[in-house]
Amino acid sequence: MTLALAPAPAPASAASAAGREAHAYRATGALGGIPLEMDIVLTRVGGVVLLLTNTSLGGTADPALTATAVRAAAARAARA
Amino acid sequence: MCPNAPVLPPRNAPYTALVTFRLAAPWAARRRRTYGTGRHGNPAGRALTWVLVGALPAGLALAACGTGPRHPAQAGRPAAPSLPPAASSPARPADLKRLVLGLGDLPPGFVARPLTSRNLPSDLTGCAGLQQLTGDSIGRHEQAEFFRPPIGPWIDEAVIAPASRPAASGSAAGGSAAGVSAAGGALAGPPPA
Repeated sequence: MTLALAPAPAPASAASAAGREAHAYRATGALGGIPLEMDIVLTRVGGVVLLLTNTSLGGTADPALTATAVRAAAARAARA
Repeated sequence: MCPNAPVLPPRNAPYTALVTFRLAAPWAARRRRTYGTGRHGNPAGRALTWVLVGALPAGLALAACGTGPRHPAQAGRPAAPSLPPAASSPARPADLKRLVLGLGDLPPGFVARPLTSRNLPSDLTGCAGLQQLTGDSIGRHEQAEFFRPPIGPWIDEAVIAPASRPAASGSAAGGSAAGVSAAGGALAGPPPA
């Protein structure tokens, strides 16, 4: 299985919540003939780095879900 | 002795013995064939569910070594990652646990999944760039995985307190951008030789 990885727009909510830049990637491929999509977001909040992925098989990765999770993760990390 | 009688492994048998036991014992094989029925609907759905169990770690590892284009900010930079100096003191382990996502942070329908040694970012192998990142710069970290039955999506999070803090090059802002980009670039790095 080979996945193609390409930069993707980082969720704006992540950048705003983190107060720092966020890097996002969209991975696409197939697993056993089933299409796979994965959103990968990497960001830094204070002294910690957050790596968050949203993976979907048989469909498209929901960017809204990615943004929701990243926003929540950044908000938690910002409490540190 | 009945030829079909299962041969029980000793109590302290290694895992390989348990596998042999399953293969040799007909009743165990029957149980294995029917494992997972009843809750997830049709056979295709069950098969997909089992495929998905191992999909995420493998997918992320492969994505990390993907052949897609590198991040523009990574172009011309060495593959070796260098995380920037932290803006504040690194979180203590207890703090890291508190910072990890919880079920309440996600939309309804998700369930927490137990972590295994294959979860990111620890113990990932097969990708030189990512192994270098995990070996050199990832210190303490806490992880969580959530899954929406029956077939996803998966949400995985790792909260990482970087272990190494090399001196930033250039301005503070530039160092920050380079460091995070380098970490991201490791995700988008070239495939292993």
